[in-house]
Amino acid sequence: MNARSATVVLFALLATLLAGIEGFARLGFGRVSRMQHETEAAWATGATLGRAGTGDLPTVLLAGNSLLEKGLAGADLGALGDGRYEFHELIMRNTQAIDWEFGLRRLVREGSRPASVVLVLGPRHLWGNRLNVPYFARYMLATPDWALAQRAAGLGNTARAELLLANLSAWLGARAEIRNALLEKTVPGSATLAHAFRPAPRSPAAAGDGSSAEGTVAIVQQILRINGVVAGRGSHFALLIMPEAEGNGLAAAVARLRAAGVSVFNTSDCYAFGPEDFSDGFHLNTVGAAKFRSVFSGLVEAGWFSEAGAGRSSAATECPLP
Amino acid sequence: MFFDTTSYFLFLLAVVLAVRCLRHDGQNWFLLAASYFFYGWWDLRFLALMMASSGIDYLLARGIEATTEPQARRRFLVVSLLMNFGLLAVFKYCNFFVDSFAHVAAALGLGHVPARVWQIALPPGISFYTFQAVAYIVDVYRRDIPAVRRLRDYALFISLFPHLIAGPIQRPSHLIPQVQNHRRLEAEPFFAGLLLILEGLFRKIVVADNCALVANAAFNGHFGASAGATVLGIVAFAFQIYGDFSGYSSIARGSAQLLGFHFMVNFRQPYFARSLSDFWRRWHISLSTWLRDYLYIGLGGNRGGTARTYRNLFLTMLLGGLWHGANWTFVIWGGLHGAGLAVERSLGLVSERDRTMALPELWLRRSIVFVFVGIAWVFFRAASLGEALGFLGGLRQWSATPALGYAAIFLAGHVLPLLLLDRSLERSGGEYLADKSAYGWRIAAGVTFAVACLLFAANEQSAFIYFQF
Repeated sequence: MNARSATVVLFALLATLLAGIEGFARLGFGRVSRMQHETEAAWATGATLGRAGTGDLPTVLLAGNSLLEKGLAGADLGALGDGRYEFHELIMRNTQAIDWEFGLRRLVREGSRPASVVLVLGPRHLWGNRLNVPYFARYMLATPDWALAQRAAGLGNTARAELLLANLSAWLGARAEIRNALLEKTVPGSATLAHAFRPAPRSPAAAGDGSSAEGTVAIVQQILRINGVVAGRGSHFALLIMPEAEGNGLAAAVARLRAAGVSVFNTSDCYAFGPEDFSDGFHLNTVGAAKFRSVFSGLVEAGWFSEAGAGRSSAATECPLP
Repeated sequence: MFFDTTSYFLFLLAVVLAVRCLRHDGQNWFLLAASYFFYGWWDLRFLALMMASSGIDYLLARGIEATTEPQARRRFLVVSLLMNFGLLAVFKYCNFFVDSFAHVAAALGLGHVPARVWQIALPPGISFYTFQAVAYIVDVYRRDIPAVRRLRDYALFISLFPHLIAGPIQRPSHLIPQVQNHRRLEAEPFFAGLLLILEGLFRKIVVADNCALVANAAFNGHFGASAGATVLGIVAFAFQIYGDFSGYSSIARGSAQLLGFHFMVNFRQPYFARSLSDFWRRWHISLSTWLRDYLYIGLGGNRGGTARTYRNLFLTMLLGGLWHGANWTFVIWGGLHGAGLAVERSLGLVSERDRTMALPELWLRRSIVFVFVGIAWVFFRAASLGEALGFLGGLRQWSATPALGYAAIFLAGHVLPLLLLDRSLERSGGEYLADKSAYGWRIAAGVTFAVACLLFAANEQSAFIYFQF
């Protein structure tokens, strides 16, 4: 073998490797990773939702991140619907409002037409323009929205190109998830390490103050854009703000959104959640989740999830009894 | 366009294919355009600055060569040095000096001095291309090399994209002839270039980025304050910065080889050094030799007695520290190394570099050097002196958590492969793994690196540390 033929062999092997891992990410990863399988299945269901589900119940898409996942952990969504709604949960971890602006655009583009879309996020996730690039690009961004997304996030040239490439390549988009799945199986204490290795906050919102004038304006603009995406296709949009141990100062933003006709429920305005309800100050533990489920049931009873219910702007719908 | 991004490799592929279709003249024009595109991709504003300073240095060097009158030659040299170091001072150190002056004024009770009058952005790679430009003008002044005839060739020498942002700082006598003369695009260096890139990627995205997870967690206090967390943080950062910068250098060298250029080796297993001076012969070689040739020798080197030698050593390292960044932590880092080198010299350890040592002595020396270098890295890593001392203060507290144990295993899993790789290179004297073996072994090494990169690259990409300098 000489250098020329060795180069050809090396290139061929690298190309085979890349093709193999791209194929695995497209076809095989969802089969070996339970989490990935659930995400793909939830997205596929979300994308095909019509206005009415089985038994003609109005469909409600609950879209959110791990806060929603922990908040409704172990809940039977069918029972929670109480014969009034058919709930569908779509969890995309480590996402915030800007991710969902484009995620919902993609769902709508793929044909999703639920009766209501309820975005369930924490107070720190309502504004900020930093995208979780590879994951977002692969799972939430429709290719035609690329130009809009990179402008909204104010990306530099490299990030712009990486966003497009991660959108086109399953492996680039799922790379982090594949590695996480591998580490979970091979590294002892991976859950403990994941907590210790937690990344820096993704946006100023995570460390900043949503009650500031700047924060209020940013939140209102962001949520109104999402409302426009959802309402544009005839679905009702609502925002459910998850509780935090220390409450939040979102009164001004909530008031402005309600004045603009957006249905908002700020859990912390109505119910006190203390540090004992959280595993880490943000994610609810089993005690907190049980409390949240009763709040959620109160909202179901008050008809908050439907356009008609949200239209009744009474104290009862703003703070329904659990 | 960082070296570990897909967009860089698409760019590199396009440039390599184009270069192979062009003749020498066309190659140089195309490479200049590609390098300016690469630089402008970051920030178009600073492209004009680099082009202007390249143009002026080109003319000044021609001026130096055109005259035999010593005073005129010196004038041209001084103008160039003032321009180059002036730009570096303005863009890199202005805020640092204004802030420092404000602090001193406040401490002396001279009233409030508004700090940060302007927020000045740092042009990417300015520290590196400035040193390369200074080396050129000094070499022309010393008549070591002739001035470059064509502006295009000089501009390409400064801006050739594989070294532009973070080196290796190329010596004019090494790179300029490669720019000017016909380059043979041979199969062997091309193949070696591919392997250098794969090994560099492994060093960066598998070793450094995973070590960064541990280092960041330790420095951010996620493991608490304890001796274990501090030691873990020191080891993790030591291998993060080594994997990061040696990986960058390997990718830069590999990219250059795909284009028919050869860059100097920048790292030679630095954590196998048996003394501090040995460490500096192995770490960031292009910078340490630059500092030796253009600063240490300029200051008088080891001529003029012991005291002056120590002073020159200390000053060189102090300025080398400051070159890394506008922060007192870098000055302290450089000062520690300067003091360490001086002490080592006074103990007569420098002359022992080639002595055969018994294994226990060898590893004891290596360990001492690693501990010293690791502690100095704390000042390099910390945002402030207080943060560095606070982090080192953790050494006084003894406690252990399960997370520390898991993190130590995780760290070992990423550091050991790099140590084994370095051990192999140390024994073989090679530039990349298995470079003296049959092609089959080399291909196997390359594919192994590729698989590791595909599966174990860290999730949180961290920018190459030296890009900020």
